[in-house]
Amino acid sequence: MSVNRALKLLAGVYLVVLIVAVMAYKVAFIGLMFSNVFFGVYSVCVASYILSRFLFSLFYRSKPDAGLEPPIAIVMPSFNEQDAIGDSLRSLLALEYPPEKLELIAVNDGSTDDTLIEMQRVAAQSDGRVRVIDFPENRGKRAAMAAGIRASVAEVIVFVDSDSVVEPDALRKLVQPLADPRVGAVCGHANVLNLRESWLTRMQAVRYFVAFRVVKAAESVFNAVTCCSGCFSAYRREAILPRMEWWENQRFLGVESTFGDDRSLTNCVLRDWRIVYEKRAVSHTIVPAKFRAFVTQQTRWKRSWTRESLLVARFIWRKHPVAALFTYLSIVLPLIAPVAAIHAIVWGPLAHGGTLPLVYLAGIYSLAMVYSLYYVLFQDEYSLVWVYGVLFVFFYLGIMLWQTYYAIATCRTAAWGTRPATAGAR
Amino acid sequence: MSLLERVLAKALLPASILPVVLFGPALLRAPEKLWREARAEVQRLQAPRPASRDQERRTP
Repeated sequence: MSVNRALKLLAGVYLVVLIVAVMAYKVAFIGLMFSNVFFGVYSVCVASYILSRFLFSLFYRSKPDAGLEPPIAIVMPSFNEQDAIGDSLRSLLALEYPPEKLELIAVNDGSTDDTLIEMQRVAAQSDGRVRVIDFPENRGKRAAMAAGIRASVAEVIVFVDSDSVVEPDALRKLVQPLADPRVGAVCGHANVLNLRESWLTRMQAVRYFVAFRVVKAAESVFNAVTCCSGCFSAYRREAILPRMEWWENQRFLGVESTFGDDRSLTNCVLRDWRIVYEKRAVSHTIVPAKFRAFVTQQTRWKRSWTRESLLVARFIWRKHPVAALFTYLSIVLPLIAPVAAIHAIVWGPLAHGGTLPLVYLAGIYSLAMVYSLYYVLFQDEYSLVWVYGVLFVFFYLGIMLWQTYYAIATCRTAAWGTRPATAGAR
Repeated sequence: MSLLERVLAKALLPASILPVVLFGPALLRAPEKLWREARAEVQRLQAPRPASRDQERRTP
């Protein structure tokens, strides 16, 4: 047996033992639940929520190849991506899909760098396969996506971020679930492309892997994926069109919604259609390598999560009771998490000495190890990247947990943080 | 990557169990300890309080 296989076997056994140990430990705390109901129930809910994601993801199966080959329009909106756009467009030209069934539309959203020149360079070498739409001024990602939809005629629209590259066989695999006429959208898988760039990108590599292979897979079991990633997702045109005008002009608390376009579009489709995840449709995306850029991105994502959670909560109960339960938990638990952290780490030592913080941090460590062991188990090659998964959970506890309240307090803001303040102000 | 680094990288996975071993005894005692403390707190709150002087005066 190779060392790689032995380590994977160890990770598998370790993961199972850890999950059983966490469950047994929770049982030991049941008596305590009645003396501190709020935090007792919270603690059981968090553990059940996280472990259930892993459990349900075991039931996830990729859809078989149905031989589907519909006409597809790939829309790639782009703003100041001169370094990445060339590779991203070339990855679309290399797709294993009949060229006559493929429309490739690159939209330059008023970039101030050489993005347009790069787009035109690739378009010139593509025998007319890549069409370029140019906005003289920055109008926002949503406007760029909408322009791409209007410029195309294909029955399936695929969005690919301009900092993502797609594997040659990914497109065919992405659209296979659309063989089911009830499926309105499919979310592809995204790996981190710049994994070796910094400690932050390694952390995100583990996070992305678990977020897609566990969370989205678990949601897919109930045909209710709540966010089709902007990196690589396919939509049925007829599922988008009825709500497209609303989506383009979406407002929240009186302010135009300029970001969170992927989660918002997912919500538009999820109301009336099924949405699934396809793990074999793989893309690779560039993630922030610097702390400031990462925090800016996460704040933006949390703001859009706040806005879209209010929308999804209104209709998810009609989809599937289990999907609804877990969606509501995914909304409520992050709101309580900072209070629980203060309760355990600040109030705990004052009331109980070191016992409560120890139990809390052991829970966090167990969670971190569950994520990381899953990563080791399902990655092809063993690497030390899993250690960054452990670090990420503590990083989350120290920084990202507290972002939720800040994002809620500032959710009316329209600024991207990486785009001009005028983006989207039409 | 040197041989030592490769060995260390692989040894880190089984070594990750160490914090659990280190804090294991305290973690195993934690549920009972917290439960005892919570019960003591409940008993303290439920215990009859000594009557105040005001109440004593009003008592016939």
